Amino acid sequence: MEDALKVNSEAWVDQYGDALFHFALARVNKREVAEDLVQETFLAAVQSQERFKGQSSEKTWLFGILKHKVIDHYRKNKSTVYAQDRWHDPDNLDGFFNEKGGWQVRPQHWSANPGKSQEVKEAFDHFYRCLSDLPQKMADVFVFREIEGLRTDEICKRLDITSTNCWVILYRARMLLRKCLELVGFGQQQEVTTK
Amino acid sequence: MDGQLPFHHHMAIRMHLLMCRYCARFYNQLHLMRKMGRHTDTDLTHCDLPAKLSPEAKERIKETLHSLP
Repeated sequence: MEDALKVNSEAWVDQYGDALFHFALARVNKREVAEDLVQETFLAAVQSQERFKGQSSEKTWLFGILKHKVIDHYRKNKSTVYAQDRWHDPDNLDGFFNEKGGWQVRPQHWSANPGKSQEVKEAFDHFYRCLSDLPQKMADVFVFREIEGLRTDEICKRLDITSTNCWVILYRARMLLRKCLELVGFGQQQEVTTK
Repeated sequence: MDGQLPFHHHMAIRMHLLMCRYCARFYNQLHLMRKMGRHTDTDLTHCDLPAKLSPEAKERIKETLHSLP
């Protein structure tokens, strides 16, 4: 690795290491695991530095990589799926809407009290665990688009998929993630039969 | 959320969101998911454990980066 790049990456550790570690620790609750995730983040950043074109700040970019690593960690280490057994088949999203295009089950009000930090922590825990429950490609597209803020053409290039495929996957990811969050307690689930 | 729509599509959606509270709620929830995903504010992630890398951990990580070919 070029010396300039090495110096840069080592400076990242001093500049961003604590913030990345704090975030990782809040997600995984184990220092050793959080340290590993931060190390993996820096390694991935060095190896993909040519992809960072400055559209976001270095910090945002590094956090994007870390969040991907956190989701992968949940995916590898969970003994049971989080809420997937209560989901619709990921390939069949017809159950969200009736034949007239209306909601089959209406979106419920979500509430979390920002003043209660434990509630907010739990909300973020649910969010990342639900993301880890998505099929891999759906999670990847969601993270690239919603967390890292990549354009569709950039996502298509990374995943070698068409633009149409990308939009379909993103739609499914959003619908399923929203449903998972409602199932684990973001809102009060009610079955509504619409006419 | 994902790009510019033609004006008439944009207006049709805005009108629908004004009239349909469930779709408006859905729209807000999509934005909340995006906001949660992009959040890095460590104050909100709430962690009870000492949340800084130890000096040893920092050195270990730097050594690993330094040893990359």
